[in-house]
Amino acid sequence: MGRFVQVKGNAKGFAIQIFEPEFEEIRGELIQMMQESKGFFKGAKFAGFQGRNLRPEEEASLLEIVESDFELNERQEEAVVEEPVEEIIEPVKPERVPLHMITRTLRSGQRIDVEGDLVLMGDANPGSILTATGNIVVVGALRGIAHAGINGDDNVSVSAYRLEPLQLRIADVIARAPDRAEKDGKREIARLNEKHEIRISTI
Amino acid sequence: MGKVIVVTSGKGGVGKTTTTANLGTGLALAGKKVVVIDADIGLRNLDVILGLENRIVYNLVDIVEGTCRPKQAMIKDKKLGGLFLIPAAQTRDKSAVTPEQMKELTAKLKEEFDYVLIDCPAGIEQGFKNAIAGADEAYVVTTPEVSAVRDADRIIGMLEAAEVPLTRLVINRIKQEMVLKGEMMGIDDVVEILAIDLLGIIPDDGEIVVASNKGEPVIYNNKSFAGQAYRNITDRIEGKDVPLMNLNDQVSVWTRLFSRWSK
Repeated sequence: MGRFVQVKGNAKGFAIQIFEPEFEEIRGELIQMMQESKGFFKGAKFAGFQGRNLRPEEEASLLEIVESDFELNERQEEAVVEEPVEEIIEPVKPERVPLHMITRTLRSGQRIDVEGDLVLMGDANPGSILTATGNIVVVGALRGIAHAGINGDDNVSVSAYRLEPLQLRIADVIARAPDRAEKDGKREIARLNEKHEIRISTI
Repeated sequence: MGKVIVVTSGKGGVGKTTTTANLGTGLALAGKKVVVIDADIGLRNLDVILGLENRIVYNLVDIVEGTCRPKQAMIKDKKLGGLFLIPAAQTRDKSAVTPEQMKELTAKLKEEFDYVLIDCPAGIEQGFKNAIAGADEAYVVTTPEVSAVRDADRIIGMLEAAEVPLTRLVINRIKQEMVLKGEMMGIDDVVEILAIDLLGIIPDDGEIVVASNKGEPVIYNNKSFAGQAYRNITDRIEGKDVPLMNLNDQVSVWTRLFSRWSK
Protein backbone atom coordinates (compact mmCIF):
# COMPACT_ATOMS: atom_id res chain seq x y z
CA MET A 1 0.00 0.00 0.00
CA GLY A 2 1.16 3.45 -0.79
CA ARG A 3 1.81 6.29 1.58
CA PHE A 4 -0.56 8.73 -0.08
CA VAL A 5 -2.96 6.49 -1.91
CA GLN A 6 -4.75 3.38 -0.77
CA VAL A 7 -7.17 1.11 -2.49
CA LYS A 8 -10.01 -0.09 -0.29
CA GLY A 9 -12.67 -2.61 -1.12
CA ASN A 10 -16.27 -2.28 -0.06
CA ALA A 11 -19.63 -3.52 -1.23
CA LYS A 12 -19.71 -1.00 -4.06
CA GLY A 13 -16.35 -2.00 -5.40
CA PHE A 14 -12.87 -0.59 -4.84
CA ALA A 15 -12.42 2.95 -3.67
CA ILE A 16 -9.20 4.84 -3.87
CA GLN A 17 -8.41 6.74 -0.73
CA ILE A 18 -6.27 9.82 -1.00
CA PHE A 19 -4.33 11.27 1.95
CA GLU A 20 -1.65 13.55 0.70
CA PRO A 21 -2.54 17.10 -0.23
CA GLU A 22 0.27 17.36 -2.86
CA PHE A 23 -1.48 16.39 -6.06
CA GLU A 24 1.67 15.55 -8.02
CA GLU A 25 2.80 13.07 -5.38
CA ILE A 26 -0.61 11.46 -5.40
CA ARG A 27 -0.59 11.19 -9.14
CA GLY A 28 2.88 9.71 -9.14
CA GLU A 29 2.08 7.14 -6.56
CA LEU A 30 -1.17 6.18 -8.27
CA ILE A 31 0.60 5.61 -11.58
CA GLN A 32 3.18 3.45 -9.82
CA MET A 33 0.47 1.55 -7.95
CA MET A 34 -1.44 0.77 -11.10
CA GLN A 35 1.68 -0.47 -12.81
CA GLU A 36 2.57 -2.69 -9.88
CA SER A 37 -0.91 -4.13 -9.64
CA LYS A 38 -0.44 -5.52 -13.17
CA GLY A 39 -4.06 -5.71 -14.05
CA PHE A 40 -5.19 -6.98 -10.64
CA PHE A 41 -8.14 -4.56 -10.71
CA LYS A 42 -9.07 -5.50 -14.29
CA GLY A 43 -12.84 -5.53 -14.55
CA ALA A 44 -13.33 -4.59 -10.92
CA LYS A 45 -15.89 -1.93 -10.08
CA PHE A 46 -14.53 1.46 -9.17
CA ALA A 47 -16.27 3.12 -6.22
CA GLY A 48 -14.62 6.50 -6.54
CA PHE A 49 -12.05 8.56 -4.71
CA GLN A 50 -12.22 9.14 -0.96
CA GLY A 51 -10.46 11.27 1.58
CA ARG A 52 -9.08 14.51 0.30
CA ASN A 53 -11.41 16.59 -1.86
CA LEU A 54 -10.24 16.75 -5.43
CA ARG A 55 -10.75 19.54 -7.84
CA PRO A 56 -12.57 18.45 -11.04
CA GLU A 57 -9.44 18.62 -13.23
CA GLU A 58 -7.47 16.64 -10.61
CA GLU A 59 -10.14 13.98 -10.50
CA ALA A 60 -10.22 13.77 -14.32
CA SER A 61 -6.46 13.39 -14.37
CA LEU A 62 -6.54 10.57 -11.79
CA LEU A 63 -9.41 8.84 -13.55
CA GLU A 64 -7.29 8.63 -16.67
CA ILE A 65 -4.71 6.64 -14.72
CA VAL A 66 -7.15 4.10 -13.36
CA GLU A 67 -9.52 3.83 -16.33
CA SER A 68 -7.52 1.20 -18.09
CA ASP A 69 -8.02 -1.19 -15.16
CA PHE A 70 -11.36 -0.38 -13.58
CA GLU A 71 -14.80 -0.43 -15.09
CA LEU A 72 -15.35 3.25 -14.80
CA ASN A 73 -18.84 3.47 -16.11
CA GLU A 74 -20.22 1.85 -12.94
CA ARG A 75 -19.21 4.52 -10.52
CA GLN A 76 -20.99 7.76 -11.35
CA GLU A 77 -22.76 9.57 -8.52
CA GLU A 78 -22.31 6.78 -6.00
CA ALA A 79 -18.64 7.51 -6.03
CA VAL A 80 -18.48 9.55 -2.84
CA VAL A 81 -20.58 7.19 -0.73
CA GLU A 82 -18.25 5.88 1.97
CA GLU A 83 -20.08 2.84 3.30
CA PRO A 84 -23.45 1.57 2.31
CA VAL A 85 -25.99 2.50 4.96
CA GLU A 86 -27.51 -0.86 5.69
CA GLU A 87 -29.23 -0.40 9.06
CA ILE A 88 -32.11 1.97 9.09
CA ILE A 89 -31.84 4.40 11.96
CA GLU A 90 -35.19 5.00 13.63
CA PRO A 91 -36.29 8.50 12.94
CA VAL A 92 -36.47 10.63 16.08
CA LYS A 93 -40.06 10.90 17.16
CA PRO A 94 -41.19 14.42 16.52
CA GLU A 95 -43.33 14.74 19.66
CA ARG A 96 -41.16 15.21 22.76
CA VAL A 97 -41.76 12.98 25.77
CA PRO A 98 -42.71 15.34 28.57
CA LEU A 99 -40.56 15.39 31.69
CA HIS A 100 -42.40 15.76 34.96
CA MET A 101 -40.38 17.21 37.80
CA ILE A 102 -42.03 16.87 41.19
CA THR A 103 -40.59 18.14 44.46
CA ARG A 104 -42.13 16.61 47.57
CA THR A 105 -42.07 13.65 49.93
CA LEU A 106 -44.36 10.97 48.59
CA ARG A 107 -45.95 9.23 51.58
CA SER A 108 -47.73 5.96 52.17
CA GLY A 109 -50.99 5.86 50.23
CA GLN A 110 -49.97 8.58 47.80
CA ARG A 111 -49.22 8.04 44.15
CA ILE A 112 -47.96 9.90 41.12
CA ASP A 113 -48.84 8.75 37.61
CA VAL A 114 -47.33 10.54 34.64
CA GLU A 115 -47.18 10.29 30.86
CA GLY A 116 -43.51 10.63 30.00
CA ASP A 117 -40.50 10.66 32.29
CA LEU A 118 -40.73 11.32 36.02
CA VAL A 119 -38.17 12.98 38.27
CA LEU A 120 -39.07 13.03 41.95
CA MET A 121 -37.01 15.39 44.07
CA GLY A 122 -37.60 13.86 47.51
CA ASP A 123 -38.28 10.50 49.06
CA ALA A 124 -40.90 7.99 47.98
CA ASN A 125 -41.81 6.24 51.21
CA PRO A 126 -43.01 2.65 51.66
CA GLY A 127 -46.62 2.32 50.54
CA SER A 128 -46.31 4.99 47.85
CA ILE A 129 -46.55 4.31 44.11
CA LEU A 130 -44.81 6.01 41.20
CA THR A 131 -45.75 5.19 37.62
CA ALA A 132 -44.52 6.62 34.33
CA THR A 133 -44.76 5.66 30.68
CA GLY A 134 -41.06 6.52 30.49
CA ASN A 135 -38.17 6.54 32.97
CA ILE A 136 -38.32 7.20 36.70
CA VAL A 137 -35.57 9.01 38.59
CA VAL A 138 -35.82 9.58 42.33
CA VAL A 139 -33.45 12.17 43.70
CA GLY A 140 -33.83 10.80 47.22
CA ALA A 141 -34.76 7.43 48.65
CA LEU A 142 -37.09 5.17 46.70
CA ARG A 143 -38.76 2.92 49.28
CA GLY A 144 -42.17 2.40 47.70
CA ILE A 145 -43.19 0.87 44.39
CA ALA A 146 -41.97 2.26 41.09
CA HIS A 147 -43.33 1.22 37.70
CA ALA A 148 -41.51 2.55 34.66
CA GLY A 149 -42.74 1.89 31.13
CA ILE A 150 -46.27 1.32 32.31
CA ASN A 151 -47.56 1.18 28.72
CA GLY A 152 -45.13 -1.60 27.86
CA ASP A 153 -42.00 0.34 26.87
CA ASP A 154 -39.22 -1.96 28.10
CA ASN A 155 -36.34 0.33 27.19
CA VAL A 156 -36.72 2.42 30.32
CA SER A 157 -35.06 2.53 33.72
CA VAL A 158 -35.74 3.25 37.36
CA SER A 159 -32.95 4.95 39.25
CA ALA A 160 -32.61 6.50 42.69
CA TYR A 161 -30.08 8.02 45.03
CA ARG A 162 -31.07 5.25 47.43
CA LEU A 163 -32.74 2.39 45.68
CA GLU A 164 -34.59 0.47 48.42
CA PRO A 165 -37.94 -0.20 46.76
CA LEU A 166 -40.54 -2.67 47.95
CA GLN A 167 -41.10 -3.53 44.33
CA LEU A 168 -39.73 -2.51 40.97
CA ARG A 169 -41.75 -2.87 37.81
CA ILE A 170 -40.44 -2.23 34.34
CA ALA A 171 -42.91 -2.74 31.49
CA ASP A 172 -44.51 -6.10 32.34
CA VAL A 173 -41.71 -7.38 34.59
CA ILE A 174 -42.02 -7.26 38.37
CA ALA A 175 -39.18 -7.67 40.85
CA ARG A 176 -39.51 -7.50 44.60
CA ALA A 177 -36.97 -6.56 47.22
CA PRO A 178 -35.14 -9.46 48.83
CA ASP A 179 -36.81 -10.60 52.06
CA ARG A 180 -33.70 -9.69 54.00
CA ALA A 181 -33.31 -6.29 52.43
CA GLU A 182 -30.18 -4.36 53.24
CA LYS A 183 -30.92 -0.88 54.43
CA ASP A 184 -27.90 0.83 52.93
CA GLY A 185 -29.49 1.60 49.61
CA LYS A 186 -26.97 2.89 47.10
CA ARG A 187 -27.18 5.05 44.02
CA GLU A 188 -28.43 2.49 41.58
CA ILE A 189 -30.27 2.02 38.32
CA ALA A 190 -32.60 -0.81 37.34
CA ARG A 191 -33.07 -1.89 33.74
CA LEU A 192 -34.18 -4.92 31.80
CA ASN A 193 -31.44 -7.15 30.40
CA GLU A 194 -31.57 -9.21 27.17
CA LYS A 195 -33.38 -11.99 29.01
CA HIS A 196 -36.08 -9.56 30.04
CA GLU A 197 -35.09 -9.64 33.70
CA ILE A 198 -34.72 -6.64 35.96
CA ARG A 199 -31.05 -6.03 36.70
CA ILE A 200 -29.63 -3.44 39.04
CA SER A 201 -26.29 -1.73 38.72
CA THR A 202 -24.62 1.11 40.57
CA ILE A 203 -24.32 4.51 38.97
CA MET B 1 -56.84 33.37 70.67
CA GLY B 2 -55.81 29.84 71.53
CA LYS B 3 -54.54 26.97 69.43
CA VAL B 4 -56.33 23.83 68.28
CA ILE B 5 -54.02 20.82 68.34
CA VAL B 6 -55.02 17.36 67.21
CA VAL B 7 -53.13 14.34 68.54
CA THR B 8 -53.26 11.61 65.93
CA SER B 9 -51.42 8.52 64.72
CA GLY B 10 -53.23 6.33 62.23
CA LYS B 11 -52.39 3.14 64.04
CA GLY B 12 -54.16 2.35 67.28
CA GLY B 13 -52.48 1.69 70.58
CA VAL B 14 -49.42 3.86 70.10
CA GLY B 15 -50.27 6.30 72.89
CA LYS B 16 -52.48 9.05 71.46
CA THR B 17 -54.82 9.18 74.42
CA THR B 18 -52.00 8.98 76.97
CA THR B 19 -50.19 11.77 75.14
CA THR B 20 -53.31 13.95 74.99
CA ALA B 21 -53.96 13.45 78.71
CA ASN B 22 -50.38 14.20 79.69
CA LEU B 23 -49.90 17.23 77.47
CA GLY B 24 -53.26 18.62 78.56
CA THR B 25 -52.26 18.14 82.18
CA GLY B 26 -48.78 19.53 81.57
CA LEU B 27 -50.06 22.69 79.89
CA ALA B 28 -52.62 23.19 82.67
CA LEU B 29 -49.83 22.72 85.23
CA ALA B 30 -47.97 25.49 83.43
CA GLY B 31 -50.94 27.74 84.14
CA LYS B 32 -52.65 27.55 80.77
CA LYS B 33 -56.35 27.16 80.22
CA VAL B 34 -56.82 23.87 78.41
CA VAL B 35 -59.72 21.82 77.11
CA VAL B 36 -59.17 18.27 75.91
CA ILE B 37 -61.75 16.74 73.58
CA ASP B 38 -62.21 13.01 73.16
CA ALA B 39 -63.10 12.62 69.47
CA ASP B 40 -63.10 8.83 69.68
CA ILE B 41 -66.88 8.56 69.71
CA GLY B 42 -68.01 5.08 70.68
CA LEU B 43 -64.64 4.06 72.15
CA ARG B 44 -63.96 6.72 74.69
CA ASN B 45 -60.83 6.44 76.84
CA LEU B 46 -59.57 9.88 77.66
CA ASP B 47 -61.95 10.22 80.61
CA VAL B 48 -60.56 7.00 82.07
CA ILE B 49 -56.92 8.05 81.73
CA LEU B 50 -57.75 11.37 83.40
CA GLY B 51 -59.79 9.60 86.08
CA LEU B 52 -62.95 11.56 85.24
CA GLU B 53 -65.21 8.77 84.02
CA ASN B 54 -67.62 9.00 86.93
CA ARG B 55 -68.32 12.68 86.31
CA ILE B 56 -69.69 12.38 82.77
CA VAL B 57 -73.21 13.67 82.22
CA TYR B 58 -73.14 15.26 78.77
CA ASN B 59 -70.73 14.64 75.93
CA LEU B 60 -69.45 15.89 72.58
CA VAL B 61 -72.46 14.64 70.63
CA ASP B 62 -74.80 16.37 73.06
CA ILE B 63 -73.02 19.64 72.37
CA VAL B 64 -73.18 19.41 68.58
CA GLU B 65 -76.80 18.26 68.66
CA GLY B 66 -77.70 21.13 70.94
CA THR B 67 -78.84 18.93 73.82
CA CYS B 68 -76.62 20.95 76.14
CA ARG B 69 -74.42 24.03 76.14
CA PRO B 70 -70.66 23.40 75.71
CA LYS B 71 -70.04 24.56 79.29
CA GLN B 72 -72.36 21.86 80.65
CA ALA B 73 -70.44 19.05 78.95
CA MET B 74 -67.04 20.27 80.11
CA ILE B 75 -65.74 18.32 83.07
CA LYS B 76 -63.32 20.15 85.30
CA ASP B 77 -60.21 18.20 86.27
CA LYS B 78 -59.88 16.78 89.77
CA LYS B 79 -56.78 18.80 90.61
CA LEU B 80 -56.24 21.48 88.02
CA GLY B 81 -58.60 24.42 87.72
CA GLY B 82 -57.44 25.15 84.16
CA LEU B 83 -58.07 21.72 82.66
CA PHE B 84 -61.40 20.62 81.17
CA LEU B 85 -62.55 17.50 79.37
CA ILE B 86 -65.24 17.15 76.74
CA PRO B 87 -65.86 13.39 76.70
CA ALA B 88 -66.96 11.32 73.74
CA ALA B 89 -70.39 9.71 73.54
CA GLN B 90 -70.15 6.02 74.19
CA THR B 91 -73.49 4.95 72.73
CA ARG B 92 -73.06 6.61 69.33
CA ASP B 93 -70.59 6.32 66.47
CA LYS B 94 -68.30 8.61 64.46
CA SER B 95 -71.05 9.67 62.05
CA ALA B 96 -72.86 11.46 64.89
CA VAL B 97 -70.57 14.46 64.29
CA THR B 98 -69.52 16.19 61.06
CA PRO B 99 -66.25 18.00 60.30
CA GLU B 100 -68.17 21.29 59.99
CA GLN B 101 -69.62 20.89 63.47
CA MET B 102 -66.17 20.16 64.91
CA LYS B 103 -64.71 23.18 63.15
CA GLU B 104 -67.42 25.37 64.57
CA LEU B 105 -66.99 24.01 68.10
CA THR B 106 -63.19 24.27 68.18
CA ALA B 107 -63.30 27.78 66.73
CA LYS B 108 -65.59 28.78 69.58
CA LEU B 109 -63.47 27.02 72.21
CA LYS B 110 -60.18 28.58 71.18
CA GLU B 111 -61.59 32.01 71.86
CA GLU B 112 -61.77 31.07 75.51
CA PHE B 113 -58.96 28.51 75.96
CA ASP B 114 -55.23 28.71 75.35
CA TYR B 115 -55.13 25.16 74.06
CA VAL B 116 -57.79 22.91 72.58
CA LEU B 117 -56.34 19.38 72.45
CA ILE B 118 -58.21 16.79 70.41
CA ASP B 119 -57.68 13.09 70.95
CA CYS B 120 -58.15 11.62 67.49
CA PRO B 121 -59.44 8.09 66.97
CA ALA B 122 -57.28 5.53 65.14
CA GLY B 123 -57.95 5.09 61.45
CA ILE B 124 -58.39 7.43 58.52
CA GLU B 125 -62.17 7.53 58.25
CA GLN B 126 -64.88 9.84 59.48
CA GLY B 127 -63.55 10.08 63.02
CA PHE B 128 -60.14 11.20 61.79
CA LYS B 129 -61.71 13.74 59.44
CA ASN B 130 -63.81 15.13 62.28
CA ALA B 131 -60.84 15.41 64.61
CA ILE B 132 -58.56 17.28 62.21
CA ALA B 133 -61.24 19.56 60.79
CA GLY B 134 -60.45 22.64 62.84
CA ALA B 135 -56.83 21.91 63.76
CA ASP B 136 -54.09 24.55 63.66
CA GLU B 137 -51.48 21.95 64.48
CA ALA B 138 -51.20 18.18 64.49
CA TYR B 139 -48.99 16.04 66.68
CA VAL B 140 -48.41 12.67 65.10
CA VAL B 141 -47.64 9.97 67.64
CA THR B 142 -45.77 6.87 66.56
CA THR B 143 -43.77 4.07 68.12
CA PRO B 144 -40.50 2.86 66.59
CA GLU B 145 -42.20 -0.04 64.86
CA VAL B 146 -42.41 -0.42 61.11
CA SER B 147 -46.19 -0.68 61.04
CA ALA B 148 -46.73 2.37 63.25
CA VAL B 149 -44.27 4.42 61.21
CA ARG B 150 -45.99 3.33 58.00
CA ASP B 151 -49.35 4.49 59.32
CA ALA B 152 -47.87 7.72 60.63
CA ASP B 153 -46.50 8.39 57.14
CA ARG B 154 -49.95 7.88 55.66
CA ILE B 155 -51.50 10.19 58.24
CA ILE B 156 -48.91 12.91 57.61
CA GLY B 157 -49.77 12.74 53.92
CA MET B 158 -53.46 13.15 54.74
CA LEU B 159 -52.74 16.05 57.09
CA GLU B 160 -50.78 17.74 54.30
CA ALA B 161 -53.66 17.17 51.91
CA ALA B 162 -56.07 18.64 54.47
CA GLU B 163 -53.72 21.62 54.75
CA VAL B 164 -53.18 21.44 58.49
CA PRO B 165 -50.60 24.23 58.91
CA LEU B 166 -48.07 22.45 61.15
CA THR B 167 -47.37 18.79 61.80
CA ARG B 168 -44.92 17.62 64.45
CA LEU B 169 -43.77 14.19 65.52
CA VAL B 170 -43.80 12.43 68.89
CA ILE B 171 -41.97 9.11 69.11
CA ASN B 172 -43.36 7.06 71.95
CA ARG B 173 -42.34 3.91 73.77
CA ILE B 174 -38.70 3.82 72.77
CA LYS B 175 -36.83 0.88 74.25
CA GLN B 176 -33.32 2.27 74.20
CA GLU B 177 -31.76 -1.06 75.16
CA MET B 178 -33.20 -2.60 72.04
CA VAL B 179 -32.16 0.38 69.93
CA LEU B 180 -28.56 0.02 71.15
CA LYS B 181 -28.61 -3.64 70.26
CA GLY B 182 -29.93 -2.80 66.81
CA GLU B 183 -33.22 -4.59 67.47
CA MET B 184 -35.43 -1.52 67.28
CA MET B 185 -35.58 1.50 65.00
CA GLY B 186 -33.84 4.49 66.51
CA ILE B 187 -35.06 8.09 66.58
CA ASP B 188 -32.95 8.95 63.52
CA ASP B 189 -34.41 6.09 61.51
CA VAL B 190 -37.97 7.22 62.21
CA VAL B 191 -37.28 10.90 61.56
CA GLU B 192 -35.50 10.08 58.34
CA ILE B 193 -38.55 8.36 56.91
CA LEU B 194 -41.20 10.73 58.20
CA ALA B 195 -39.22 13.89 57.50
CA ILE B 196 -41.12 16.25 59.83
CA ASP B 197 -40.13 18.24 62.93
CA LEU B 198 -39.57 16.16 66.04
CA LEU B 199 -41.51 17.49 69.01
CA GLY B 200 -40.37 14.90 71.50
CA ILE B 201 -39.37 11.38 72.43
CA ILE B 202 -40.83 9.28 75.20
CA PRO B 203 -39.07 6.23 76.58
CA ASP B 204 -40.94 3.02 77.26
CA ASP B 205 -41.90 3.20 80.93
CA GLY B 206 -43.98 0.87 83.07
CA GLU B 207 -45.04 3.88 85.14
CA ILE B 208 -47.37 4.91 82.32
CA VAL B 209 -49.48 1.79 82.82
CA VAL B 210 -49.57 2.39 86.56
CA ALA B 211 -50.56 6.00 86.03
CA SER B 212 -53.29 5.14 83.54
CA ASN B 213 -54.79 2.58 85.89
CA LYS B 214 -54.86 5.16 88.66
CA GLY B 215 -56.42 7.80 86.43
CA GLU B 216 -53.57 10.15 87.18
CA PRO B 217 -51.32 11.08 84.22
CA VAL B 218 -47.66 10.10 84.51
CA ILE B 219 -46.57 13.72 84.10
CA TYR B 220 -47.25 14.18 87.84
CA ASN B 221 -44.65 11.52 88.62
CA ASN B 222 -41.29 13.23 89.10
CA LYS B 223 -39.38 9.96 89.18
CA SER B 224 -40.70 8.65 85.88
CA PHE B 225 -38.64 9.12 82.70
CA ALA B 226 -41.85 9.23 80.65
CA GLY B 227 -43.17 11.90 83.00
CA GLN B 228 -40.03 13.95 82.41
CA ALA B 229 -40.36 13.43 78.66
CA TYR B 230 -43.91 14.81 78.74
CA ARG B 231 -42.78 17.78 80.82
CA ASN B 232 -40.12 18.48 78.20
CA ILE B 233 -42.67 18.32 75.40
CA THR B 234 -44.97 20.68 77.30
CA ASP B 235 -42.11 23.16 77.59
CA ARG B 236 -41.43 22.89 73.85
CA ILE B 237 -45.10 23.53 73.04
CA GLU B 238 -44.77 26.63 75.18
CA GLY B 239 -41.88 27.72 72.97
CA LYS B 240 -38.98 26.84 75.29
CA ASP B 241 -35.85 25.31 73.84
CA VAL B 242 -35.38 22.01 75.67
CA PRO B 243 -32.87 19.45 74.38
CA LEU B 244 -34.00 15.91 73.64
CA MET B 245 -33.76 13.52 76.56
CA ASN B 246 -30.65 11.36 76.59
CA LEU B 247 -32.17 7.91 76.56
CA ASN B 248 -28.82 6.23 77.14
CA ASP B 249 -28.93 7.41 80.75
CA GLN B 250 -31.73 4.97 81.39
CA VAL B 251 -29.89 1.98 80.07
CA SER B 252 -27.66 -0.01 82.41
CA VAL B 253 -23.93 0.55 82.14
CA TRP B 254 -23.46 -3.06 81.10
CA THR B 255 -25.83 -2.82 78.17
CA ARG B 256 -24.17 0.37 77.00
CA LEU B 257 -20.71 -1.17 77.20
CA PHE B 258 -21.92 -4.29 75.45
CA SER B 259 -23.45 -2.33 72.62
CA ARG B 260 -20.23 -0.39 72.14
CA TRP B 261 -18.21 -3.58 71.93
CA SER B 262 -20.57 -5.33 69.63
CA LYS B 263 -20.52 -2.50 67.06
